[in-house]
Amino acid sequence: MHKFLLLLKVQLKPVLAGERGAVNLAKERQPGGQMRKTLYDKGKPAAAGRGSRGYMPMLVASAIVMITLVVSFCVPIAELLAPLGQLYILPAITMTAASITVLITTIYKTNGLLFGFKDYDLVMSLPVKTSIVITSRLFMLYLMNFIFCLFIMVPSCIIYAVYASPSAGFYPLFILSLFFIPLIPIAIATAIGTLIAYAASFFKRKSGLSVVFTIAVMLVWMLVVMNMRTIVEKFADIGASITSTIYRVYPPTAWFANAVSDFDIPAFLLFIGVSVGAFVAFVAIVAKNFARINSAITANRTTSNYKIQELKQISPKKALFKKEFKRFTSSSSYLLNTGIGVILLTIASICMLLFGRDQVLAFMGMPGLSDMLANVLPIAMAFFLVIACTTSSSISLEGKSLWIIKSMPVSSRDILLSKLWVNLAIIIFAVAVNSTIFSIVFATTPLQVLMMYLTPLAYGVYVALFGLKLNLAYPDFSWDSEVKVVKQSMPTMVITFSGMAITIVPALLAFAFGEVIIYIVTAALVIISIFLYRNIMTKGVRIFDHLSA
Amino acid sequence: MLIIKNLTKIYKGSKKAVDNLSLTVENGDIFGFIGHNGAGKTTTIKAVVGILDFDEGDIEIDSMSILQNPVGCKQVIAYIPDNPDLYEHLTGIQYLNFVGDIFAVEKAEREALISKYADAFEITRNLGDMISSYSHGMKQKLAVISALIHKPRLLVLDEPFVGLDPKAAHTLKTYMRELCDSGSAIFFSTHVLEVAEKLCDKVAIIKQGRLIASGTMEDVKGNSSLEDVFLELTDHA
Repeated sequence: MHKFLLLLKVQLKPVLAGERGAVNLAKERQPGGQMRKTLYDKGKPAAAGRGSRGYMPMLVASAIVMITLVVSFCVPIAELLAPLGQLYILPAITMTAASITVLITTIYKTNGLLFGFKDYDLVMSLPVKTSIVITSRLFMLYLMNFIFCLFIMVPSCIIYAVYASPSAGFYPLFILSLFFIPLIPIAIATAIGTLIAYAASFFKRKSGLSVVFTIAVMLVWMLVVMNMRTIVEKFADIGASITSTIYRVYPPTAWFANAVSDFDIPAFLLFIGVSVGAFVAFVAIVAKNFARINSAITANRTTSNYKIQELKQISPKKALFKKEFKRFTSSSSYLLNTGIGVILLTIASICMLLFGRDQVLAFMGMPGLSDMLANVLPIAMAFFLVIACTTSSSISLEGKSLWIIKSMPVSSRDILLSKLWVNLAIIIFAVAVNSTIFSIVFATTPLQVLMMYLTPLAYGVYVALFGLKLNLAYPDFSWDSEVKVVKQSMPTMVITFSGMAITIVPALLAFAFGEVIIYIVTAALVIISIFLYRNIMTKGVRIFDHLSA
Repeated sequence: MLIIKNLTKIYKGSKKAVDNLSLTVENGDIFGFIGHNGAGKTTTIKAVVGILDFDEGDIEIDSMSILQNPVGCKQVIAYIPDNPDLYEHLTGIQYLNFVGDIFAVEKAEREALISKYADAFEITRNLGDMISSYSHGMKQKLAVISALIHKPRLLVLDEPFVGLDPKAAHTLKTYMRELCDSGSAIFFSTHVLEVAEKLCDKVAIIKQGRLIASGTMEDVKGNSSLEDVFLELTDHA
């Protein structure tokens, strides 16, 4: 038990330490073995550690989003089901939602948390039984998923209790059940995740599979959220048939629903028994094959048959750009987190071109909004371009390889420009494709067409520059997972939230005061971008000169 | 080729990592830089190759100041760190081609040199694989090849033999000698005193950031072994 707790503590530490970066910052080990504060040399900004802030902000943000969604989904459904006497459906539906959430979020955690984790060699060489190692890893997965379950199940339980006024027996059974809901989904997700990781291990470039899968999941998720109102409206008619299908596909839902809504003790025991049994069986199978599965997943497939071929020569500036662009395309987490807005925007605009704007807007749950949308379309497009950018983490992503570009005969200015140009290339592509399609689809005036290009471009240039400025001020080269700088770093979060603010506020103002707001915002962004560019090319270059990993 | 003048580096909140260090590496020299862990070798090397700023002094490479003309200096330097953290998202050949592009190595020459060194280090077949699949030793070999393909006037290496197999280490020593015979200079740190004694023309010993001995190998070690001299100097200096 002591060893299990120690292993768990090691895993939990970075999650609970909200200021992980700051801790490392204060105690970074120098080549000489001395402990020192990091790189505040000559008053220059810190070069490492300040970017990451642990998982806590992400957890809080997830809680807010999930609880809001659950409440906005469950209240109208409860309103519909209460008069029909079908409130028993609500626990079943929310339990299904919790199970699917666990399933989806766990699939991608399998490779990295259960298998192929960074300190695998170290942990497995310790005098600890393999079963304890696995239990500690699975317990970590369980803890994370249990928290997600709480975010979904507790608000839905409160709503159910308010509308159904269940007997006192509901509460203990519901609370006890909460602990068992994640077990089967974790086992299924881990099995699927293992198969995906195993399949991906056959590819030299593993990011492609993960990008396609994640985009598919995201599109389904977005469609569900966008069509929530339609789903809720139709729920009174189709709720019972949906529930019976769910019961057939995933029987634990029926056992759980019967247990909590009818105080059905045999159903409760069946639910717990099957959940625990399936999970224990899964752990036993994994424990027996742990090393074998781990080796299969983490093995690097190499061809080792290269023969020197003709090589292409390009200029140093082009080489820097090419290297940066490869960095962007070779990492699924970097590509998805910084390029997802452009990807979704492009999918939406191509769909509009193929199926017509009204049909797509209706499909997205926004019927009859096309005229209204046309007025703010340049800003609506810009929203997708400014919620993330590559530059906010492109310096941090150099990580321990920073020495390569720092020791090469290229100026800091050219290095920064190469990072900027990757972001601009993505923006230019997005504007060229989407602005053209939206101009055709929405058949606007010449001035509106012009703004359809200018405004998103102005936003895109601004966010690329602002992201770079932020990453120069808050670089983090000490990451052990790209996700920490790509998704969880301070510059990335600032870009996302400020991106929302600088598009949503002007869009609301444009609804109230007309298109003049779009002209003002576009002009303001151009001016700010000029200042940012000059600042980066002077002060930013000096900061970069002093950075070291 | 390399003149370090009164180099001082102080990490914030710490004592001097390098303290008023001066030394000169001539063309054709293989200059060994030895010292205990934490003596200041890596800090000095990083300052020389322009990836770490310093507080006092100057560093001249091929008559250019690293402070005044860092890009010019880096054009004639190749650097291999003690831990070859390379771009894992590239294949070996993509990385070498990237280095070739940055140093503007002509296409034909690039192909010939990559072929020559990759064959010598027995890594040609692996050049099409992602660097993330390489072992530590293979990454070290790739870093060495990337340093050699642009024919540096000054090759700076930090513990270059760590992680290399005996044959690769021998090959590297051969090319180091070949490079110096062509007029370039080499400045490298090592803990392997036997290698330093056999390979180096000149040697410097650093202790707690200060240079405690420097000169030709004969001047520094006299009739003793380098190991004896090193232990004597570092224990009693």
